[in-house]
Amino acid sequence: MARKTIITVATTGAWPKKENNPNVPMTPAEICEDVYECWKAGAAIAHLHMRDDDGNGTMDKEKFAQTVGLLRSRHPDCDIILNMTTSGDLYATDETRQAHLRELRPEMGSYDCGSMNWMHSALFLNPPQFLEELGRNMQEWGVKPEIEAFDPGMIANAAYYLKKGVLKAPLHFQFCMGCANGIPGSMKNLIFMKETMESMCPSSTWSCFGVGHSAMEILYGAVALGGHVRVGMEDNVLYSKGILAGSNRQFVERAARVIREYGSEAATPAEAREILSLNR
Amino acid sequence: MSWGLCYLCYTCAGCRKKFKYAIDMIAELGDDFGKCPVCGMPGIPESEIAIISGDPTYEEVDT
Ligand SMILES: [Zn+2]
Repeated sequence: MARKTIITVATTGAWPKKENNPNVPMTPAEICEDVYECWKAGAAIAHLHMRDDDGNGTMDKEKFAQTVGLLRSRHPDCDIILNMTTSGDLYATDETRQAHLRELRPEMGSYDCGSMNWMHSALFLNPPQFLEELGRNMQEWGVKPEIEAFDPGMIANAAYYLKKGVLKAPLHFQFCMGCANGIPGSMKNLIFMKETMESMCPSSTWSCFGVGHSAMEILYGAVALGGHVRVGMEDNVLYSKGILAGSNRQFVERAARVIREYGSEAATPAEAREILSLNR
Repeated sequence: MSWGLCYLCYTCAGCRKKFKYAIDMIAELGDDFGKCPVCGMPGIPESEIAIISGDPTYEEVDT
């Protein structure tokens, strides 16, 4: 049987606006339709961020609820796994970063496993107290953490929380590569992230993406190394050099082609649930 | 949450050309990062920006 590779689409993120790419979906209705298109093209997971009415990142749980409501009512056939960010606004409180998980109980949520600088201009804070609370809450609420690691130290931090019972095996990682102030995106670094994970958190699954020039190297690398992939305008507003992406679907279609050409298959949401032990 | 490409924008100390480098190219370009694509002189850093579609102010250098 062909190996299954999970495609996650990160449609929106917290930073790109229409001035960066007019095709970034921003409103609940736009995000809903975008997710549906990406699901039809082979995405098994949708990583969701919300925007306020000015286009800024927000953790407003009503926006998440509206988006999920639209997806369920307009597209009842869509069984995509929803993965909601807990880091959609640098100035959100610990409470608002989790309220949507408590209320909506998505199958997955992001878990940023350490603090760092953000775009050389602000702090991206994930202090110990927040991570402990979030990890325990996600276990209680049945929301699987997607552990975002921006450098190898964050993998070590996940191993610590695993030993402490804050996180529960099997873990699922997202290696976020090429972000300013994080690990640069390269094949060598991807292998190092994978090997660090395997030695510190055995039996985990992993996915990755590269921001900017490393996007394709990391995509092909993930497929070749047996990982899973994330694509979308949260990470890249350019489809290729100098060319703005026309849609998130375009990224998903390319990932699906790469996966097929390699001899693997894009995992369906049902297959992704099996791979990630989302047995609820 | 990720964040997209940041660019460092420069004006050439010699010929005054305006150009930019994506920060993620530091690892690949090393000492060549920040040099003027026309005359090879070091650029004077001016600002840092994200991708703005259709913005021609600074020419991107990526090789
Ligand atoms: Zn010059």
